[in-house]
Amino acid sequence: MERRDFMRVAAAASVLPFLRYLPTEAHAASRDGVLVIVSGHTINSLDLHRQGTNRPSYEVTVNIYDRLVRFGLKTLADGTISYDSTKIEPQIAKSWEFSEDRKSITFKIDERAKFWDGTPVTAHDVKWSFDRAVSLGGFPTVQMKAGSMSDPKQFVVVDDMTFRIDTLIASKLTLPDLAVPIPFIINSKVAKQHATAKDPWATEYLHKTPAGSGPYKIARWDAGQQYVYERNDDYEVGTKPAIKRVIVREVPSASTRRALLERKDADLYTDVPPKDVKEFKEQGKIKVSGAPVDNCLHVLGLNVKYKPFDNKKVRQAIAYALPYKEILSSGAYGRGEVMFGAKETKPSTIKWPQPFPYDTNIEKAKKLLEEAGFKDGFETTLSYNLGMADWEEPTALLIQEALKKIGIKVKLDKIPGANWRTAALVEKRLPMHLENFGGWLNYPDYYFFWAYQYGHLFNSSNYKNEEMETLVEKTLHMEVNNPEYEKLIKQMIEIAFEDVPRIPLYQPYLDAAMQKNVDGYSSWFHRQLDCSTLTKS
Amino acid sequence: MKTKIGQIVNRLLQAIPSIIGIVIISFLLTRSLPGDPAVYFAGAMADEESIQQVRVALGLDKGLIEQFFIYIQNLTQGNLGLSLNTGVSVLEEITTRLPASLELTFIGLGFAILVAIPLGILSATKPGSFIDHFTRVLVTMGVSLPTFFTGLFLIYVFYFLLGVAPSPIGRLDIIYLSPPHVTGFYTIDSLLANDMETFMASVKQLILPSITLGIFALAPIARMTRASMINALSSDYVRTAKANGLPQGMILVTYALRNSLLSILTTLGMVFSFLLGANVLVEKVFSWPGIGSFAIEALVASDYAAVQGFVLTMAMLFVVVNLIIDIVLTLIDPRVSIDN
Repeated sequence: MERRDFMRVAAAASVLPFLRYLPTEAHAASRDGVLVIVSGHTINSLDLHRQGTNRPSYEVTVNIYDRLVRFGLKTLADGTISYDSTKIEPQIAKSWEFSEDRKSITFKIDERAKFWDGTPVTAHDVKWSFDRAVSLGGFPTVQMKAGSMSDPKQFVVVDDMTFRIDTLIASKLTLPDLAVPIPFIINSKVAKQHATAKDPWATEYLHKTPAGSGPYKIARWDAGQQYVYERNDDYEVGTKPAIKRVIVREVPSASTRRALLERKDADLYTDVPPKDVKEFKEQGKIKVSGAPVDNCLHVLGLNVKYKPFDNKKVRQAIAYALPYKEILSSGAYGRGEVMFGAKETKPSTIKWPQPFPYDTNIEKAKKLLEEAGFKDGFETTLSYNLGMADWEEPTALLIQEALKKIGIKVKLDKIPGANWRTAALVEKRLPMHLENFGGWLNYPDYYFFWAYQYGHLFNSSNYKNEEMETLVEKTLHMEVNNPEYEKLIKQMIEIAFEDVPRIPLYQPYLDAAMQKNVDGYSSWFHRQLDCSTLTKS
Repeated sequence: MKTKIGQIVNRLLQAIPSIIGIVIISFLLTRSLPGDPAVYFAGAMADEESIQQVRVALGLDKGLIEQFFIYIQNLTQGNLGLSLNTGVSVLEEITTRLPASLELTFIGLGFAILVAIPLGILSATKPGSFIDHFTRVLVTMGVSLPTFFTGLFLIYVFYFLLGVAPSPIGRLDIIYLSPPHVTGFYTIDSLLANDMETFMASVKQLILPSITLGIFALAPIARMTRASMINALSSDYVRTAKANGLPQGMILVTYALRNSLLSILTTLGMVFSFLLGANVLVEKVFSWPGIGSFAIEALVASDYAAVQGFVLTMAMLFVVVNLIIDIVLTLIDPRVSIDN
């Protein structure tokens, strides 16, 4: 480290005027209070409501903006910190109240909530931001709809510090949907100053200049290279972050990211491939933290629109032929929750996801295939997404090999990332494919809504079952403590067990690797990094 | 002299149809990319309605011809559109990234020339000698090692194991801020700002990636130098020079090398062009924020405007490089002035 120390001193002495964004570092000649994160992704906007904002950019929203409410945290058995989908805590709203019929929620706004420019957060700002989310279209509008919010008329300013949401139906999803990244609160006064007739929601301005109240501000964004978070020292509605400055540097090559971490030039990186996780754990020099992603499954989808996958017995035969253990050990390097081998064919709990009652059993698979009239097997194509080659490539090879044993000849078909969504989800034209879907709101019915209801985006199998349709409709907005709920969800899962249009392979982990002196990493359903809980000793 | 100017003007005019062709082809090529940008950019949970909204917002609902005229109109105003993938205008992306790639390419090419031309000359003067075999091995290695492998190998040895190279995270280490923008070349800009620290830092970052590129570029230059030098050395005029008892150095440089320069220069033009292409992988390995990594990401996302901008810039660059080489050749080629 001598070289580095020397450079720092030298830098402090001579380039002071240029080191505007790292003054502490230059002065104190140390990296205290600065956290360096390396990331494989590029962000394309600082405004999540903007059309075309990509997934990595969600991270920025999570760290720089506040929402009315947020999810709490819990510690898992292995010590990993994870968000808690059952706990909703105040953020901008200090309290809230449901109406008698549970169709409206009234929020009291915390007086301590201040935007970065010092102005207090008011109900007008909340309304403007929510109106924006439901009006701009695209992903924000879809996500708001999940919480039964789609019309600006539903958002009412009662007084400066009181805000009300009216929904047409009472839904258990409304409140948690306010804690996801989408309904973030923007400083509407600042935004309106930069709105134009052509751009009433100031998308051009907020795209590069956020106006929020969150624990971090953006100090700098060099597209394609890095962005820098700077702590909001006046943050009061939550714990003030321990880290003063977070630098996120883009490093596209995974092996370079790993080298940077091992050489201690970087403090943390997320989305660590399972193989590296395994090796880090064995070496013990780098800390790995991660949890299974809630409501998320890696599945093998069988498209019922194509023969012979319209035959339930064929689907079950395949579910009995898959090499689950190998997929988990050599495809995922053990970083996944087991989703096979359940003893009963009827679910005993409503936990989701839970293991399906299939296990590798070639004899049974052969028998089922014979009953279905495909004694000699058939030929088909297994498609997978090149953008996810990380886990899909080895998995596809293992599946190809296993299905050969029951006479099914599988041709592999790699589809480039840009094409994947069109082929798999929009046109739903892939007979057999590997898919991954995770619902942001952690309810089984929410997963089934997206992945098992006919015509919905993630139902890439074109699955249609009248009973399932009614079950999803009945349960989607039902409160969890409703006595009916458990019974209906169990029915739903039982149908999924029986029909298997999607065969679960495992529930994936989201892992982050970090130096030993970095603590407080928390695992989130949105798969983004929450910097506010991180500490560095 | 007149003929030379006439030839140069002629060359400049010849570039115009190429440019028109490039504009049309870049437009058509991007449209034939697989993948629907509207679907990609509508986001993770987009339904049909929101995909349609994105399509309208991108102007993709219009006919191909109409889209083309909008594109041309924007081009004349210097507007290359917005890169959806990075959220920044394509023009801005290219003006910040092209210097990064060029700086790397020039230095890589410079390194290659410094090593390859002397090697080529030496092995031409003593064919079959130890130095000739050494050159052959080096050249073979240079072409057969993929650039990303060389890059990763150098990182592994000099950064990871020995710790003498700076971290491979782009043009400057984390503690430095980019120098005020003048040319976009960090080395030049930091010198202009009289900031030696940043200059040294940017030079350090350049060493490994430019060696990686240089190793790749060695082969054609060394081979062409060797071949044309052998050719020149066995020519009548060199034999005459030798017979006249001219000093060895003079024969090599004034007679043989000068006559070989034409073909070496032509090769250099070609090498420069394909180095810009080879940059892509090197940029990825060294996190270099250049135009190559930009193009790859844009391709993956079917980011029309960005791909078009990239193809256009690269093609223009090729045209310009070829023009310059042509003009230089015209100027130094003794045969052109003979009829004057």
